[in-house]
Amino acid sequence: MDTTMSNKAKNGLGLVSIVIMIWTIIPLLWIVATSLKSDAALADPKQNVLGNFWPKDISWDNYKLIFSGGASDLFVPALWHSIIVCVVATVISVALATFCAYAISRLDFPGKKLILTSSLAVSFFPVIAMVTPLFNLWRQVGLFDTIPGLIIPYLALTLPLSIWTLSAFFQQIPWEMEQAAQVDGATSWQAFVKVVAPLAAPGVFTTAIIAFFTAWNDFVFSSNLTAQNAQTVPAALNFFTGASQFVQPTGAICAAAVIVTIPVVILVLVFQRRIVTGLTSGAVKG
Amino acid sequence: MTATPQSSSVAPRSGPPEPVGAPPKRSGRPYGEWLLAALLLLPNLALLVIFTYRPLADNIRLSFTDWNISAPVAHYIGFDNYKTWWHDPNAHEVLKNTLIFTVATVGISMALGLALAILLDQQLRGRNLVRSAIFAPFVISGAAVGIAFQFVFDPNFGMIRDLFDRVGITVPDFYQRPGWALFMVTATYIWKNLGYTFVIYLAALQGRRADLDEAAEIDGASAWRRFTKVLLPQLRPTTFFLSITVLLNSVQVFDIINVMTRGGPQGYGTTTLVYQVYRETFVNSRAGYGATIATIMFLILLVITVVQVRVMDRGMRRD
Repeated sequence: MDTTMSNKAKNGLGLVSIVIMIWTIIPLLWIVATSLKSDAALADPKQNVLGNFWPKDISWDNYKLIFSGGASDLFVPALWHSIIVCVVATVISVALATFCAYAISRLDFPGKKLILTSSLAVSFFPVIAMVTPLFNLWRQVGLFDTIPGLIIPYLALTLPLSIWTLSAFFQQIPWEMEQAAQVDGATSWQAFVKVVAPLAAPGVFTTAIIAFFTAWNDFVFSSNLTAQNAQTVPAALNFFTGASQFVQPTGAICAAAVIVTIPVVILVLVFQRRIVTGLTSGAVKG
Repeated sequence: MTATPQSSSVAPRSGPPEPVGAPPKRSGRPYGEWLLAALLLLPNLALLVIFTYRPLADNIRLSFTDWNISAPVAHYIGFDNYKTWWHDPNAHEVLKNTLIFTVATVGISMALGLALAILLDQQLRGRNLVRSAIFAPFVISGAAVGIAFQFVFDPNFGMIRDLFDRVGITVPDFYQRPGWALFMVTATYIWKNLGYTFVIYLAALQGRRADLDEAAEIDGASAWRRFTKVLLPQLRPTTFFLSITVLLNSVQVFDIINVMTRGGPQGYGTTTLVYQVYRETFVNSRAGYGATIATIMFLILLVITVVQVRVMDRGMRRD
């Protein structure tokens, strides 16, 4: 491929990829830049460089506003809710999905296909169709606007996905290794811990990442099943107000959007290969 | 562990040889195995049944009622909501919006994703960075993406206005003109979703047999013929997988529309089916009617997916 390509063609392709980079990166840089502008810079283009893009003087006011200033009452609890709800939901969902995927790929019982199909079929239902009945139920049992009231729908959201992804991973594990270890004198538990767990760990980890960012980015459940006691950051972004009610909270919203984006960008940069393997596992199986 | 090892269900590998005394399949304790499987599956199934299937069934039940979200009781009204929907002039606009939004996002993000994947499958300097940059928007919260593009499209100080002002072209007010508003949310979602179609196609390209392509090249096939006759058929399973997953995801887009336009302008300018469910249920309090639209949406998705699977099956068999 590359050996047959001329240098000229290579340069052309390089140029195209730079253009693509700009197309994907600029909108993100735009939020970062806006979050670093003071109120004065937001109002006056002369205080910015690169055609009103980047502020001449970087201001951390917006971050102060959301972490300790007027908007902190809204943002800080929302950030905690996001972290708690998503971590708990991810851990429970991946643990349960691991049981399920282990049973499907390892044990012999009737109805395997039915279980896989029924967990996949969930993705054909519009998520919004679950919101109203849950809203109704949550108000009756007192789970509306509570942390568990959000963890449960996130389990429903991530569990089918995790079962499907993990089953695909577990199909590829050479399970006979476990048996071989037992023949060599290891107990079932030792065989599981020393042989199976290390083989299964990458798949479990990948599934956890995908489950985490699915929950982290949810907007539908959080904006409709919570008010303030359990609201997560994506939903809270809608309720920002400025330093006073007459100031547009543009900078503060952008600062909050940057904070909520940082964890997933780090995940992508570090684990992109794994995430892609997880996302394609369903495609490969067909 | 009561699990009976199932050596015969695993493909033979170059690992340790099969122990001679390994029990043959199904000779162990099948009922013990069933019991363990049931224990492992029970929490999953219970969660799915209670918190996914039950609410969905409940949604269908509510679609036959006049339930107001703030009222404690709902009355059974038969198919009245469905009749209302059929004659609702807004429903037609919403269906049209949903169709335009979905077809555009599925078509354009798949075509662009494939083009980018082919491009970045080449040996280029810094391609890993470019790949991450294209992939990243897919995992970013739709609410944050909506906020970013609110500023990109802003009529007063937005990036697009800024760029076009320099070359002397007046840009439309994307927020006030319904057609342009729909264009705006569609373009935004394509930007976000491109990362997904791109990485899936790229993974497929890297897993394909390059020798077929090389053979065709040696035989003198043109680049276009190699693309349509060799590459596309090889990618068909991936294209099928993407057409279903992208469709299911884009039909459900809620966050971007909520943040950018709240379904407007001029009433229903960017309202899609999902957003109409939300508006009827939580804004207009007509939860029964909202449930009806959600049920209709589910039926539409079901029919489309079944048709897609059928068409694909036939395509596979022909090869």
